[in-house]
Amino acid sequence: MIQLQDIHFHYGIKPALQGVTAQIPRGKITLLLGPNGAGKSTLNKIVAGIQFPSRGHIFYGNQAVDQSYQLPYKVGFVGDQETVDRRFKVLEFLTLIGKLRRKKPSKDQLQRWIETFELDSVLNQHVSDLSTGFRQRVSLAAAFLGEPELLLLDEPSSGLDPYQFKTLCNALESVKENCMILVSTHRIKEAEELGDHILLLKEGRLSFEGSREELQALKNSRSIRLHLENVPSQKMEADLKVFGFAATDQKQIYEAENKDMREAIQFVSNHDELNVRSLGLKESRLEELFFNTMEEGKTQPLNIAVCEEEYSSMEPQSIQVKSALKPQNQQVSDHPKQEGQSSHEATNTETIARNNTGEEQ
Amino acid sequence: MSQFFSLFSFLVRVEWRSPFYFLISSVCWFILGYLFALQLEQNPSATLSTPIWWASFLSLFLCPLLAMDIFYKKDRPDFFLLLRTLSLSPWTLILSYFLIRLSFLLWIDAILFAQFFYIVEYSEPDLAPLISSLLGLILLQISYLSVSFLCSALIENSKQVFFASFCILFVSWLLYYAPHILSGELNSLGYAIRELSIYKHFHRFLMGAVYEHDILFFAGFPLINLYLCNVVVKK
Repeated sequence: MIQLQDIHFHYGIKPALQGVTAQIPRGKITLLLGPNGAGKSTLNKIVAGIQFPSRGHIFYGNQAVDQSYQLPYKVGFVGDQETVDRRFKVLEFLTLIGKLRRKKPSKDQLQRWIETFELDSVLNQHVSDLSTGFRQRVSLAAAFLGEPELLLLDEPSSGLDPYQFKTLCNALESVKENCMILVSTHRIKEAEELGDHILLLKEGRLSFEGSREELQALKNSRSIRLHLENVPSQKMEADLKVFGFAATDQKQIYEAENKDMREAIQFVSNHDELNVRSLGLKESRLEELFFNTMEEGKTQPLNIAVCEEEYSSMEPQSIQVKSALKPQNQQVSDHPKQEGQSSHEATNTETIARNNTGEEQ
Repeated sequence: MSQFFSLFSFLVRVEWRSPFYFLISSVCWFILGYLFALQLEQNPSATLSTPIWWASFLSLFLCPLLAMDIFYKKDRPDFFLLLRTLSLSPWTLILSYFLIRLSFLLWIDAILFAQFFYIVEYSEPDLAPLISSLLGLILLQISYLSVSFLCSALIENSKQVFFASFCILFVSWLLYYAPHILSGELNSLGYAIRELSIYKHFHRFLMGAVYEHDILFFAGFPLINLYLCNVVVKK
């Protein structure tokens, strides 16, 4: 595992990273997300040993990484810009990278990555003659070559078609057991199933570190979804709007952003005529969670433990909300998911449900 | 060391098949060959001083040209960055590239060596000034190239690298002629300025005089530049 501790980096007087403390665990794919200029590429370069932090330390296990070119781990690197010298032939380039690695890859290994990224047909072509996608595949094959202990992939999907992206995902899955992987990407939709561990960077600070479920739980605490059995009356709809519930594309589903669950429970309790199927926290896609976090304007690291503590001090009636912080598979649902309802549409925490008589369970 | 040889041998293969360099060397060979032929026509007992002087002048353009695309450049793929992730020391990288680019200069100088053997074969020249001027030219080119490498490490735009290093080398060349420009009372100032010129050290080699301090300068100056280059790359 690589541990980053209080990493600072400045370009001149402009800070690029401000006290980033994070982990890149082995056996997991770490997604590094953040808007342009958040410091993703700088962080990549620091971990790759190309740049050295102005302040802070990097630990590889218990070993501190000193500021020398000899890193204690082998790095496979794909940068945010092209790194393949275009004058090389593909095979020449891959052979050179193999030779320059401390542990030279066998011919079988070389063949494996050539086949994985389907480079057989262009091996004797100059890199300059290849399309952008092929050039990216050459970079990726070079990064995977020689069993690197750390794979740093900055926008690895750029130029790849969906099929090639799937190939990349499979390749990452196949090596992740013995490897630390840090993937920076803007293609969150595609990557969201890939990342086991998420780092959100904003303005050089770490906004979040944890699993997707943890991020989900944090964001859910601010977004409430009310699913009704029937379309509400006009008067009721007005009441819902007053509270802050907004209608969604589906007429029976209402969502309220940044509302306290306790208030929502109170609201539902006071409106017996509401025929509630479920009231719970909304599950968001990683992309939504990303944008929510970026828009919050908070630059202080969010701490899941603190949130747990806040919930534990809540009133008994809302105690079930805390269960939303648990992983999804631990939720107990009173109502089975409706057919045709996609996973991200479904409320992951049907914490409070009322029967048709309006009695609170 | 094995990493250095692997990289160097690959770079030799890649760089030496570039038609760009062969085009440049053809132009240089034409100029230097023409000058030598002209000199022979006018004076059968010619020396190499004219083509070597011209070779030193052409180096003012060639060295910046050869170093302008090394290291990180905004308009080129950053192969250097990739190499650095492979735990290669900056020295390995700098020296590999430096020796490759120097080999191009020596390839261009090859015509001067051919002219040297021609003179030795068909006349009885004083060998000492011939050898010292050839040696001086190579040392001058090493110095020029090291200055260009340092500029290349400092500047991210390849065109700016070319112009910056050309300006530095050209000014350094002009400084040699400062006493001619600053005459009268300022003449001593002109001589003081001349001391800053790289060309001054080469000029004594061209005249057939080899001084220890010139050798020390040519040994130390490129090393300092390459060391600074190493520091810049590390940073």
